[in-house]
Amino acid sequence: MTDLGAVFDAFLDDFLPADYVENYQRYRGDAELRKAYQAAAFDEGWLIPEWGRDEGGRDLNGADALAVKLVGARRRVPRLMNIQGVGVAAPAIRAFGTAAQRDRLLRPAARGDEWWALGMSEPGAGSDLASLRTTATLTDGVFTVNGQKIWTTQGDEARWCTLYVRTATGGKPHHGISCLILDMRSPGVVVRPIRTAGPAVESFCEVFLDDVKVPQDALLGELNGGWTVAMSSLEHERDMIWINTWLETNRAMGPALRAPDLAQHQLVKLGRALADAESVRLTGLRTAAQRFADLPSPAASILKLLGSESVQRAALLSLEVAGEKAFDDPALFDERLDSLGATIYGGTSEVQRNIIAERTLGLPKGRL
Amino acid sequence: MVDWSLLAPDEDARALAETACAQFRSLNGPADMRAAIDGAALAPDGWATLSKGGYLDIGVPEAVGGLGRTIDLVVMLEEAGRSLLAVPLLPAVLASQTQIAAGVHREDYRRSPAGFSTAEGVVEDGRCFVERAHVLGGLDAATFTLVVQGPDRAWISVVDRDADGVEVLERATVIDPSRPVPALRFQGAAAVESRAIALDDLERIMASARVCLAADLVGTAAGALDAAIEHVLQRQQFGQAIGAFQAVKHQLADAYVSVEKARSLTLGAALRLVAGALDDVPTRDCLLANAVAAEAAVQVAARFTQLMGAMGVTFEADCHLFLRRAHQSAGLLGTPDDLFMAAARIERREAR
Repeated sequence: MTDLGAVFDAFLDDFLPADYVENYQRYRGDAELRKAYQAAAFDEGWLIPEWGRDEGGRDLNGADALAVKLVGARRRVPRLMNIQGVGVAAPAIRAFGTAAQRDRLLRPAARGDEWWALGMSEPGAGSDLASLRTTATLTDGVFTVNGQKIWTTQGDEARWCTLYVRTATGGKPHHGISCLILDMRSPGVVVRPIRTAGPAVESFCEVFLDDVKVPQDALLGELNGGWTVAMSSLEHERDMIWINTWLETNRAMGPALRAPDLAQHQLVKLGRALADAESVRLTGLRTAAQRFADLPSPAASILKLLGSESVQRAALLSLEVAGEKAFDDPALFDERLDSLGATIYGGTSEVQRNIIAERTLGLPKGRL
Repeated sequence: MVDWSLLAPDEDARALAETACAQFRSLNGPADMRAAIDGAALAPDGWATLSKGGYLDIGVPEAVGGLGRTIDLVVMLEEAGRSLLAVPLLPAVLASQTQIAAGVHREDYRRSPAGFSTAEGVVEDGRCFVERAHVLGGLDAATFTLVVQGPDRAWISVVDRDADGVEVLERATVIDPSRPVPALRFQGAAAVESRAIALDDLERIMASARVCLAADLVGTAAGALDAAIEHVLQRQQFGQAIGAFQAVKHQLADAYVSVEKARSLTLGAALRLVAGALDDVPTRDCLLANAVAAEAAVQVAARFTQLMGAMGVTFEADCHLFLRRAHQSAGLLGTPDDLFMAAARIERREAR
């Protein structure tokens, strides 16, 4: 593995600009560099190294693939532009797609050539995905879709969308859901970006669906089997998510680490932020180690909650440490605002606590 | 290189944890705690059981007659904490680990109950001068291992119980008398072994004691969490188990996060300590593990008390035992805030 890490390091030495570390803050927002990195890393098999060689990976086992990702984290590689394409959509297509779907969609999704949106939330179905009301009726090999999605990240720039729709009623609500692969260029699809409270890095959209025609062969997984696709697609790339949170927490700690003077109470908070960051990393590594050893890894259930709250506390600390300087530096408040989203998207902290209590601690389901 | 795969303790460590769990439970810590609160002295046979069982040798280098790895030590101490073990295992481990770190360890120190303390004072010509030291395990110890912090240097000293100049100032322990911390004075007591160290090196020497205390605290927190879960599954109100109420679930989910966070930090710090590569990094990690585990133990024990309802304030319920154990151990090697500050200072130095 050491060899592989060195090879990846050499690739990064070659690819990244010479002043990358020094000017990281600037390169962090460099869309061209980020796009070029994703394509180059995929072409060399580094982006998703656990995939087979014929799929664009290196056929690595879980431990080696994780080691490659950790090298990437250490080098702070450019962030993916459309993270849900690689992290959620591609694994779902790979797991549930037909041969034709995989051939057409997998590579451009992973390489970043085609972006993906996730069509899950609706105005009346946020945390409660099973209550979604967008419908699809199948007639003569074509689905006709009507309804509305909301909070669709990058909906305005995405070429494709994993669209969750109701294809059957009666029975348990999550039984009648299907996942369709929606071509966002289809007639009847209207996307409206939502203005965010601050300058969010990624757009956030409403998607209106008015008699949109989706061919039957764009069904992902089984008819009425969408719940399985949704649940399993969120299980992939768990490592990518905690590595990302760990990096974000570390980055948010930067101002407090470098500030010339810190009061004692700020030092205490910095110590807490360090503990947060380190515990995200170690819990991530611990659950990965358990997975590789075929042991149960109950602590995986805390990573989302712990990670998002860690980012939030670190962003709050850097705003506090800045004091009046925050009046002149727009980035600090924006990051604070952005960090408040972390405990909302991808499953709110309240839902995470329910999941931990019911699935990990074995407490009974209840309504209150 | 740190072998992170041991964050999932291997078969050997898990087998040890299982054996230790059964053994420690049979020693019935909760009964010892209640008896100690009522003023009874602990029977000495628990120590013999641990000694014969080889528990005192775990995590001690083979060169000084020990066996097992730091990871084994950590999982064993977690079981001790979980079972509220009252036999003085922790002071013995803190003493021997600190002696080993300072290079003053001898196998025979480990064969009898040991006391451990950190205190302000000085050591001159091998004689300890400490006005007041709360010595963990100090009532029945054969030797006291003292971390003496002076104005410009520190000492790790081992003092015999019977040495001249050792005086017991206060025998009684208020919070958790089953793990007594009597106050002692050392008036020029001769050390059988002593090493002076620079103040800058003190945290590094303390690191292994910190990770051991952290493991004990993780166990206390985990034991309280397990008992709280058991209670809320069983207790019925408004026609359902109270564990079905979201207000209860969220408290326990947060408690679980605290426990797992502390456990990850403790396991990670133990592995870093063994690899030892960059001295400041394991030192920082041990500070963080100690601080987070201390807060977790106190918080989870307090949650457990709350969820017990009115039973929570009775002598009969176990929650006050966890709370006593948690509070007494939490500040043993410094308050969490002090430890967070120390870790932050190390990190800021590294970041420059």
